[in-house]
Amino acid sequence: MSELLKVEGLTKRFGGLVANDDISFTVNKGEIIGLIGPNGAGKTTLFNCITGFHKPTSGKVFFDGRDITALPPHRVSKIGIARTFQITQVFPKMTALENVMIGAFAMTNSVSEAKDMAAETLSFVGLGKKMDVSGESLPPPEQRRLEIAMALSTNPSLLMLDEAMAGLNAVEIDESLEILRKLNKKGITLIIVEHVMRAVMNICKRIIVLENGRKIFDGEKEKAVNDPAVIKAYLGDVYHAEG
Amino acid sequence: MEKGKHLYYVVLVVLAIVFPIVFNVPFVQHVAIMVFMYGMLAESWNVIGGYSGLFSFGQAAFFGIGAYTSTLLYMQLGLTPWIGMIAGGLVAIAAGIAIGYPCSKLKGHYFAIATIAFAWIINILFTNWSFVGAATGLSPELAPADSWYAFQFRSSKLPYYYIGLFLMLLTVYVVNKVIKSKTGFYLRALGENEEVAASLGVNIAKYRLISISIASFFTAVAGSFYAQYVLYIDPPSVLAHFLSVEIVLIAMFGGSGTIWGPIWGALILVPLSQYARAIWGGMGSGLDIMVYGFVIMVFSIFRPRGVVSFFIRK
Amino acid sequence: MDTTNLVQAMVSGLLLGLPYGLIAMGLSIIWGVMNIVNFAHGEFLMVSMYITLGLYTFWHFSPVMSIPVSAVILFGTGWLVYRYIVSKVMSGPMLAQVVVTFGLSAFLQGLFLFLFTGNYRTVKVSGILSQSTNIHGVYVSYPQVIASLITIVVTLFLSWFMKNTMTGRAIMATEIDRETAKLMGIDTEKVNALSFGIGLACVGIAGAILSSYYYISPYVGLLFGLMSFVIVALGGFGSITGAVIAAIIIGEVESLGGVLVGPAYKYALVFSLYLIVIFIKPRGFFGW
Repeated sequence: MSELLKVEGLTKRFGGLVANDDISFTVNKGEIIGLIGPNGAGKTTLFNCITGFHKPTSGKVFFDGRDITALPPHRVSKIGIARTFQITQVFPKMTALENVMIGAFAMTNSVSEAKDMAAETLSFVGLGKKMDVSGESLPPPEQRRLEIAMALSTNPSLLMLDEAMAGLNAVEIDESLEILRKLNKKGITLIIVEHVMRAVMNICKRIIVLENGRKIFDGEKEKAVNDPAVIKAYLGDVYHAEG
Repeated sequence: MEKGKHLYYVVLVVLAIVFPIVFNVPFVQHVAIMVFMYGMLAESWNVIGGYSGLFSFGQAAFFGIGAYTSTLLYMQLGLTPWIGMIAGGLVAIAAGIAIGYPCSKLKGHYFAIATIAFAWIINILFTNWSFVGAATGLSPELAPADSWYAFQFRSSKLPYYYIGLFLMLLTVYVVNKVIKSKTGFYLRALGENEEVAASLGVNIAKYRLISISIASFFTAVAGSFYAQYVLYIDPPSVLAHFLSVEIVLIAMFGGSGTIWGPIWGALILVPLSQYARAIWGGMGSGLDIMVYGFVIMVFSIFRPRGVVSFFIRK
Repeated sequence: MDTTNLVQAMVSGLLLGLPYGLIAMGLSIIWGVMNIVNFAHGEFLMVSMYITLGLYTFWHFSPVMSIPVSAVILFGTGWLVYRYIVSKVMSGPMLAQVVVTFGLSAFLQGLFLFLFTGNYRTVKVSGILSQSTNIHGVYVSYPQVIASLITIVVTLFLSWFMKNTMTGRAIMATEIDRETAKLMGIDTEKVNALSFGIGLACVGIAGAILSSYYYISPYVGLLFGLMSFVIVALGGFGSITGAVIAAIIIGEVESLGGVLVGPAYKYALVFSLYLIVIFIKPRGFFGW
């Protein structure tokens, strides 16, 4: 397996607060990785550091062997990393189709081509019938899927989803998981931050656990369940509770 | 539907062409010329404020830069204001980038105040800079007769009317083209959510500057046009803070973020203020400004999406 | 420039800046609580100056005596302006929020121009308000000193009020996190109206005292308004002490710039300083 993303000793401080403390890991092409940890563990900060929204205090990020540590968000997007946001973010006044077109313009300068590509992506995530509905008028679960379509439309090789299943019901979670599996089959590597443990356990082979900004576990999910540090930190209560 | 809409606009344009011949009254023509000029200004503002979400309250700076550039080039080098107009637009783009670049992280109110401050700096510099006439202003030498080269027509307002109409329609045409293109989609994305736009590959700083450049250029062109129309410019007439405010109010009143909204705004508000000024203004009474302010408040409260929202059902 | 001149310029700057702080602090409270910039702020200062002029003309009130009257009237005005104008646009588009107070400023300017013409007027003052003194060659005018002292008193009072009264704490809480404040049972609508009232009361006090040494005209608000936007943006919105400190800096730049570069350019320097600062720190000196 070849290496796609490599994070090396990444640290991010906000004033006195250390949000990410010396985190290192690698992600190989084709993997689906679950990034979990209690609230405030630093998952979203890590996402922001990788995607250029935050500048890491120290440490490096490599993508496809290239140092991308200082790149601004739009350049990170151009080289093939797409992301969604913890709190759903879409363009509220634009139609669903236009929302996705913004991403598709990364691939083409032609409006009609962008339109075709966006329509296709929307159908893929099951929003084919909602193309003309404005972003703000979509119900929250559909906004989540719209976000995935927007990210997908930039044709990423790595897709990072920040709690893409929060607030979804069981059926909707299964639908989303199905979409993610299909994407992975197409060759897209996935990193998902998720609180819905059923989803993580269902789809990921490997998980990384953060606590207080540190990486406390990195390995196969079966092992995580038995890892005392992980159980103590987080997994125990939630996994058993959701059962 | 689209076809019918086109026909509707063709009819309007034909009416606009015939209008000054039917109403051959200098004051009416003057009001119409002002409508075109303000329509052009509001449409330019629409690009930054309406679509890209950057509320500039300093457009007078670019208007003034346009007016001064073409007038100075004519007075100093004898260059025809037609070329001066384009030169003014280019200088305005340079000025827009000079202020837009450092402001690339400012949003909302912060951006608005920065643009106000910028316009005041330009105003103060021009008021004290003797090369540009300082507080006395500039008036180009009058051509002996109507002249296309000198861009001066005194025997009739008709040339100004048609040039103004043309410039306004040109602005609408260009803005419409831009907005329907990839660039336009990106500008709208900026206006709605910069964070998401960046995550989808939109270079925020670059597209902000593109937006500012387009608006600055056409605002300056309108400034040159105005300078040729009145043939006398000074800081209070072309660099006034109130002008910046008027531009925003007209765009918003008509409906910013729509192609024709700003033009509707100019079509309604400019005659209102021109007639108010003509009726009451002679006494320096302030009634015109008062009515203006009142209308704006009422619209902000009851019709924040502007006049066009009467026609668009959502 | 010799030492006396330098000291003179710095003292003038301080006396110039402090009253700006009083105006700016009102704007800052409104901005902080509602996230709305009151672009009519300078016009309310103008209104307060005309109130002072009226009280003087009809009842021979001195500007100092007008302070409480003007403060109360402006407080009430602020409350009403919030209830009947600003609150109506709070949930509307951003542009409407920005533009509504611009409309109000044009309306007030036009109204006062209509009522009182554009002529400059002054309140004729006597006693201490007309005097000045000379300390080792440094000229100090008493009305400016009084205005500055009043600014300090109001700053201390408001800081105390925000920390130590229930109402003040409700305002602070709303400023920090409106949604949570609402959940805690704070009537945020009332807080908004109150903040608007307090914000304008600051201007009411400032206008009364400034009338003793500034010309009064319908356009007087323009410059003061602009100065207060710049000061608040520099000082960090919502911060009372930030506003006063930024105001002193601005006063010094205006005064020293006037002496060193030339009076004509002093405001250009002030605004340039502002642009430079926001280039480096987009949220102002004391913002994040």
